Formats: sequence, structure tokens, C-alpha cells
Amino acid sequence: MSAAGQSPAPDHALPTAVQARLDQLFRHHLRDDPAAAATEALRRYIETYRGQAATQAGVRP
Amino acid sequence: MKLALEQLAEGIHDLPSLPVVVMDLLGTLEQDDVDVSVLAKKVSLDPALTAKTLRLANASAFGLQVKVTTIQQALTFLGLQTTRNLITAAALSGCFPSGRCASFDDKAFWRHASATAICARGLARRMRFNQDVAFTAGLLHDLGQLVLVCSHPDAYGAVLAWRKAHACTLLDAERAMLGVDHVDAGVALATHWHFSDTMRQAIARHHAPETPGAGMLAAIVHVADAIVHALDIAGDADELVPPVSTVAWNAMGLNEEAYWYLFQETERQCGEMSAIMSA
Repeated sequence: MSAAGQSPAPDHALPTAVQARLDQLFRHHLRDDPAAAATEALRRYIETYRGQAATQAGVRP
Repeated sequence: MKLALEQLAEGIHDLPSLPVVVMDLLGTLEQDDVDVSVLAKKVSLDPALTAKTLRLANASAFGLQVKVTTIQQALTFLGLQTTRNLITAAALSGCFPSGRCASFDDKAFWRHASATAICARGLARRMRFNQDVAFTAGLLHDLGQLVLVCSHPDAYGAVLAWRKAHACTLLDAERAMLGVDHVDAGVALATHWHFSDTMRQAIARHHAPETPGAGMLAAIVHVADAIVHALDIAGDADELVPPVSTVAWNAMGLNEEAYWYLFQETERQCGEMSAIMSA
């Protein structure tokens, strides 16, 4: 499997403001677009990374 | 206002010259047979360049346990390649006057450039690619923006307004408003300043790393650039993550855990460096 195909589903809920900002940053990216597998992978990694940081900081969604 | 490539070249000629020692360094970035003592003496003749280089050398991103106070010490503790990268970074940041275009955020530019340099270095380390070359390419990849801002500040203000109005990438706004983009300007600058072919190619292809012959360095800078946009390090309200090339992403071959470490490393190390760069 390619590295771009390895992105797992985010397992940390993101605070609303963080999710809104990520949606804005990736506003030209359509979720689950097979033609944009790498952008999708980066987005999911960042979402999981931000979600875990929020969890560790005790920030609730 | 549309710009011809000749007008880009004229704008570049109006920029301040790089110190001769930095021109030499950029031309020999991939060579190891540089005379270190001559290099230290040449740099030390420029107090401002020396001071900024030493501030960068003492930044946490370079992990020194002792404080270096001379270029010779930096060479001893950091090695030739890292020290000449820092000299280059220090010289470049002083070369472009800030504040020419009110809507262009110079500090945000250097935050992005510094973070891309650190992220590219991290990617290169994991791929066993030359880390110092990747660092410099990350730092230089968007210099064309500064060329356009400095030579055509009013037109660049219109580019930024267009980007905001159309919610598009900077590259698209530049092409729509100027007819050229920061990649064209960066390549023209790289040619004018005699950058190596590898570096010029990385600047030319950082938005198109799947182009045949683009090379691994362009792929590293492309992925680092996208990561830094996604981490929102510049803090630009109109920021947009550019589409990530699947070819370049797969060439990195990293898993999620490796990317997380890279995200952390980039966020942790870029703040101090960008503050020095934009001072």
C-alpha cells in the first residue's frame, strides 16, 4: 500500500475552532477524493495530530 | 498589471547585492572542499552578517550545548555545511527591504520559510538525503515572492487583494494579476545569483514535483511546504494548503507516526529561527 493510502480515520474529536480553521486551510480539498489521496492523507494526519494535542491539553470539542 | 519576464529581470537587478562570500557559498553548496579558515575570515569582516549568523547558530533548532561567539567556533561545533547554511540564511534575510507592500506580511513570510527549511531538513534526515541542501532549499523556495514584492509592491498588493476576493492560492492570484508567478521570479533570482542547478530546479519545481527530472529535492520541498501550510505556522488568514502531489508524498514513504514527529519538530524549532530571520 502506498504511504498516501495509509491515513487512518481521525480518532480524536477536534475543538470546533480548530476544525473550522482546518476546513478553511483545506477549503479546496474535497474529502475522499481519490485524485487527491496525498492531500487527504495530510489532512487526516494533521486532524489527528491536532486532536491529540487538544486532548492532552484538556480542550473539549 | 501584467509583467514581462524582462521586467522581472530588471526588478532583480535593483535588489541589493548579496555579499561576495555568500555568492561563493551558494555556488558551492554541494561541495565539501571549501577552505574553512578563509570562509571564517571573509564572513567575520561583515559584522552584521556575523552577528545574525551567530544568533541563528545559537538558536535551539541547532541543538548546541555551548554558546558560540565566533564564526570559527560555529564551524567547529556545527560543521561546514550547517554553518554556511546559516550564513546564507542571515545574508538573505537582510537583502530584501521589508515594509514595501503594506498588505504583505514580511514576518509571516519568514515564519513560513524558516519552518519549511526545518521541515525539509527533517524529511531529508528520514530519507537519508543531504539535510543541509534540503534546509537551504526550504529556506529559498519562495524567495520569488520577495522579488515581486520588492520590485512591484503596488501590483503585489493587488495580487493579495485578488487572492482574498477569490479564495485562491497565491500562485493562481499572481498568474491572474501579473501574468508571472513567484516561481518564475525565484528562478530568475536563482539564475542571477548563480544558485546551483539542484537548487534552481528545487525552486522551479516545488509546485510541480512530478515533472520529469524535477528531482528528490523538489519533492522534499513540496511536501515540507504543504505541511507548513497545513500546520498554519505563518498565521496568514488567507492561507490555503496547496494540493499535495501523490508522487512526492509517496516518495517520502513515511507513516503517520513519522509525520507526527516531523510536525512536532517543525513547530518546536521554527519560532526562534523565524524571529531572528525577520528581526
